[in-house]
Amino acid sequence: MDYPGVILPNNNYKIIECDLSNCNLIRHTIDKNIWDDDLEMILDKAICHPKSNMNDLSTSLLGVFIIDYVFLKLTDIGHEVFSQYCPPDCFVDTPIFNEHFVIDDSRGYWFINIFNIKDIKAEYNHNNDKLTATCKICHTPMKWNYWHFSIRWFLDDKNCFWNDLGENEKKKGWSERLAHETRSLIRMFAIKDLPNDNILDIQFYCKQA
Amino acid sequence: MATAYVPPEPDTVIIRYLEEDNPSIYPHSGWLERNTIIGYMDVTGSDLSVIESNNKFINLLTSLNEQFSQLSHYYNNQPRINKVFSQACSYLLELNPDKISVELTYNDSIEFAFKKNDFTFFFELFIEDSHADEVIYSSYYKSTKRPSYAGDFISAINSLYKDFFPHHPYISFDLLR
Repeated sequence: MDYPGVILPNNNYKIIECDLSNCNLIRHTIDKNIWDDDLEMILDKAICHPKSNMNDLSTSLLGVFIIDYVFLKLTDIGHEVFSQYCPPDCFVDTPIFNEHFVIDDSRGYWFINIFNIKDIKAEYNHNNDKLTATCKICHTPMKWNYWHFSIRWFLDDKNCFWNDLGENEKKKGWSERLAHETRSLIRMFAIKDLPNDNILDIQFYCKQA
Repeated sequence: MATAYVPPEPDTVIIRYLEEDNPSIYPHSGWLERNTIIGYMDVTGSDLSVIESNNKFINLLTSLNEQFSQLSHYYNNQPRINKVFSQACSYLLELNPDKISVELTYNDSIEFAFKKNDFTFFFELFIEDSHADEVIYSSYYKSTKRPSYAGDFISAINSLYKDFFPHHPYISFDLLR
């Protein structure tokens, strides 16, 4: 099984900064039982397991990154080597099957349209208890996946991202609120069926098209 | 021909939505007419028996128990879970949501998601002692995000009821007999 080279960083790639409103994100789930058919929304448990990384939720930009790739699962060694942020034009070795990655076809997945979640405001304004944060979709290439994007919250009052704060700050009460906001936002807008493909024009991710 | 009035069963309270005479101050509550009966409660029973006849409650309780059996390695405080669940149910089901579900999350919490007309609510109650009595809820009108709320259970319920019954009307338990 060869690793798909199209999702690895390469020296002709750059950070994607164009408007992605019409694009969709995809994220894997641990299993395929992820949907509440009655409410027609994703289950909370399917969003992030168990509750880590809600300040920097990993997704991939759908397009060049296709559904087949959500089944790529890094091994422990693969995590050590490839699960790191990197520049978009970083040179990386190609992951090796069984050593760095396996195929986990028990996984499920969901999609979300960027338009529905970007710049959404989470606002708490009760008595003196105020918090305002804005949802941002950030291109955050990783060594295993150039198409890696993060769902993050920008804290308007602190003028910084939630994930950039120290551990003590992250443990404050509003962290639970933003974790709640992330999950409810995804539950509200996640979809289970493949949306219309919107493959980004090459000029937006290649230095030289 | 007018329908004959059928009195409620003994020991039953009818919850009425009471408002002032000027209906124009309730522009968002068109789905709730004045003095609409929005629920029934057996006042002689415990919290659970109050609403045990309600199919939504039974479905929620069944779902919660199934989830607890699957996550028993993760949660070991079923009495606490049941208490939080039943307390929340007794208030949320009075809102007569169109659809409602409950989920035992990996966040040491119980989350109710429910829809009423064009509103969607996510009402999260924390289980562990360090967050006891803490509630966070967020809501959407159609696809538009609305301000969220965090606080203790009672203040969160009050805030939620104001969402459903805007411009500060109030709920009253009105014993008809």
